Amino acid sequence: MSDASVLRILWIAVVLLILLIALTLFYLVERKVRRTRHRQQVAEAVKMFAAPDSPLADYLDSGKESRKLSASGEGMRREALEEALLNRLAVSASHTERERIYKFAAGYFGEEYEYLLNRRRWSDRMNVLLHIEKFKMVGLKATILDRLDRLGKQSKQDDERFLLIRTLASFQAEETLGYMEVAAARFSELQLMQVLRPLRDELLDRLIRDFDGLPIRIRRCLLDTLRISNARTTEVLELLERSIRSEDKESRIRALKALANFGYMTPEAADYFESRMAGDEEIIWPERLMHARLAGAVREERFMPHLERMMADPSYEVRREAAASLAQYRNGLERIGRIAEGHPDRFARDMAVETLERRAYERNVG
Amino acid sequence: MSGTWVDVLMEAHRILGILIIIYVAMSAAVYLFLTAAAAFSLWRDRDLSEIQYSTVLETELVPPLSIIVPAYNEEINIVGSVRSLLSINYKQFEIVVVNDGSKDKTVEIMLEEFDMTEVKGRVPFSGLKKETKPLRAVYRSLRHPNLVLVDKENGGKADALNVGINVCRYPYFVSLDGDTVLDTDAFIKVVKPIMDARPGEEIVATGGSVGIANGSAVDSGYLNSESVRLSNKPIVVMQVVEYLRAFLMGRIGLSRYNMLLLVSGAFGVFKKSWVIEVGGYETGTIGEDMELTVRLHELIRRKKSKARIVYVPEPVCWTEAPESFTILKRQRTRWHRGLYESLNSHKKMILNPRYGRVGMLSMPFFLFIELLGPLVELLGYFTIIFGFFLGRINIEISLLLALVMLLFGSLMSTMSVLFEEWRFHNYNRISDTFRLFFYALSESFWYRPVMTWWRAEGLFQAIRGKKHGWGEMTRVNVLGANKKTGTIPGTNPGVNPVPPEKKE
Repeated sequence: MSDASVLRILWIAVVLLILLIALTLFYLVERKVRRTRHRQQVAEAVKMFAAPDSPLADYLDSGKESRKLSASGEGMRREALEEALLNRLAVSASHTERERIYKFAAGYFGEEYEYLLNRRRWSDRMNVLLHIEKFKMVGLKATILDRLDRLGKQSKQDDERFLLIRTLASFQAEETLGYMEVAAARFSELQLMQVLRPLRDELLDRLIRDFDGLPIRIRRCLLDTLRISNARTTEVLELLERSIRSEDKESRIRALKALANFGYMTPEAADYFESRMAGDEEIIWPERLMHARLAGAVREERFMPHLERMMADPSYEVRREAAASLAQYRNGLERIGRIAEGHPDRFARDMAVETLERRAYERNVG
Repeated sequence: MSGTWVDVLMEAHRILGILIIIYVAMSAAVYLFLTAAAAFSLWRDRDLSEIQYSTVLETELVPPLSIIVPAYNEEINIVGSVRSLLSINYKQFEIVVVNDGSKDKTVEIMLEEFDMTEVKGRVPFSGLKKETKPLRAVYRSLRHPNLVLVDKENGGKADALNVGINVCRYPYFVSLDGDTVLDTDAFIKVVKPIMDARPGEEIVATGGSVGIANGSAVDSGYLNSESVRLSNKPIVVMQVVEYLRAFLMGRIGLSRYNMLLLVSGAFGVFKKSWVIEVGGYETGTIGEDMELTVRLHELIRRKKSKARIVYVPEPVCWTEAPESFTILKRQRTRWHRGLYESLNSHKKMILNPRYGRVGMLSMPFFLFIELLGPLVELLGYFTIIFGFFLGRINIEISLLLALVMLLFGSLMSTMSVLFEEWRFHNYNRISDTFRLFFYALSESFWYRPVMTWWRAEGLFQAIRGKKHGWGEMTRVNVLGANKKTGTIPGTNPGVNPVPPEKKE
């Protein structure tokens, strides 16, 4: 290659690079200016809506939509309203106000959200789904189901699939139950729990009734969800007591934990539980930990010797839990005191001392 | 006689020139590829709303975290740091402060401030099979049951982290570096990939972007995107651009293909069982964070596991950048020595097909482009000057070639400014954007040569085997966290300038 042609190539490269840099700058500044102006307008509008005499405040107080409020503008107005309403939702807890916000959102954003749900841009769809969920726009259920059906099978669509199903669940849509298999195969446990958590009444009852037919991952997460949501019906109790006998270790641990949170168990279940505590079967420490916790939650005299034994458990966590549980019992602290003085196991003594110290502190502060 | 010498020199010079050109072309290709990968992923996520986090936070369904805070001579800052950690926006966590044999009153102050009592007997022990310096005592706060203090003999940061790993309870732990300011939602952001992991997919570690706090207003140890400001100092702005490029370009690209070699020590979440399996942190190295990540990769490959190391592009923490050349130099030479050490101790992985993409692509990337890059660059300058004297160089061509290279570097930097704008818009003033952009343009002409020189220096020091001392242990100072104590509410100006205090 001659010097001249090398030079020509280099010059072209230089010009090209400068052009690219200029283009980047232009795009960057244009985007920035537009965004800044837009954000400013939105911020002003949000402030306007937040004022006590704004049309929005009027509506939320009275429930009557004024023309001023629905005099629609362009995208900026939507964003401002969204933000103003979300702020309201975040701070105010009044039921009627919430209902009014949902009603207004349904009427005002419905059409646009439906359009946005099918946009090509991924982040648009994700953002709108988050808003649909926040505003509980049940009217869009059909669109969401449609979207779910048309979603590809690839795993890269799973983020969107998850949001769609979680939104369905938040609507209490019975179609949600039809997606349990999909969810179990594709979602993480914490995601599954986010899907299960909003389900209530009728739908929850159905899940409990059909428990044994559910995928194992759903079953485990359902046990956790019942604990977190403090579900307290006889059906739940029956399910939990059944699950502490489960073949599946994970299910057992979670059922024990939920039962401890429930704070009650039937005598039959307690018999089984005691036999399990006393049994000489090898039990892993997380399950022993839950045994200790449950024994502290239901407080029956007959569990006390087992708790005392657990204070010398090889696992620190179990010892700590056993001590905390024992302290719940009447005379529990005295027994811990006795352990502190004369238990043959040093770890048990240490744990007893530690527990007593903490109790003493809590009494002083509380 | 002299004729042959000149011939040999000329020939050597020609070959060197060709080699350098090949090298440059290849590294440009790598950068282009990384940029494309990053652009692809950021374009998809651009303008994603922040409410995704608030929704998750409201559900309370988050994995519990153990936060390990190594402390060495931290009597001034430790209380502020711990206070701001105790108030983090997260549901379930414990804090394990590990006092690494401080010579000051770190322990006494902690005991006093948080009503801590000694935990006697055996404490939980995760079973890390690595010798650590002996523990003196373990304390638990009576006021905050989730706050633990471990007092141990001095053994360096890695050793302190290992002890923390042994004592902490939860399956995931966070390693927190000194002088790190957290984003208010830092934990939820970094934990999100773990929460969203598909069934059967294990997340071994995650880390987020690190931003530069200089010039921003830090409020009781936290910094959120509204209060981010760009510093006025050119050297700091330059580092902002550098960080953006390193994180938004390099790491997104590498993480996409599970080839991430570095989860920043400033703020990373690790799965404890895996870290224990690889034997914890390596003591006595500079880059213990990179070293650990490399070993995790090694284990993943060895087990043929699908486990992943994930990078979160969100800026989750902010650190204070050096504002003087002396300290910047010290930092950069040290980083380069750390890089050398990590690569050196894992030589066998480099270009070893047994280690898959990590061995075949990312290790060589770090070796040839990151580690040896400065050397080749210097060699390039040298070749040009040398050729000039040999009189066999077309000055116009060399100058143009240099210009192309410099412009290419500038383009990469400006692209990273654009990426920041797509995804985060942290620098909201137009003037900030302009300044970032023009500094990014100018980088190649002054900042980069200086960096090249220092990094080459670091490489030489590493080869000569310079050891690092304890003085280099970073301090735990969640910036500005201690500012609030003692200020009467109302007199606090609200805007705390970042203290110009320096460590190292």
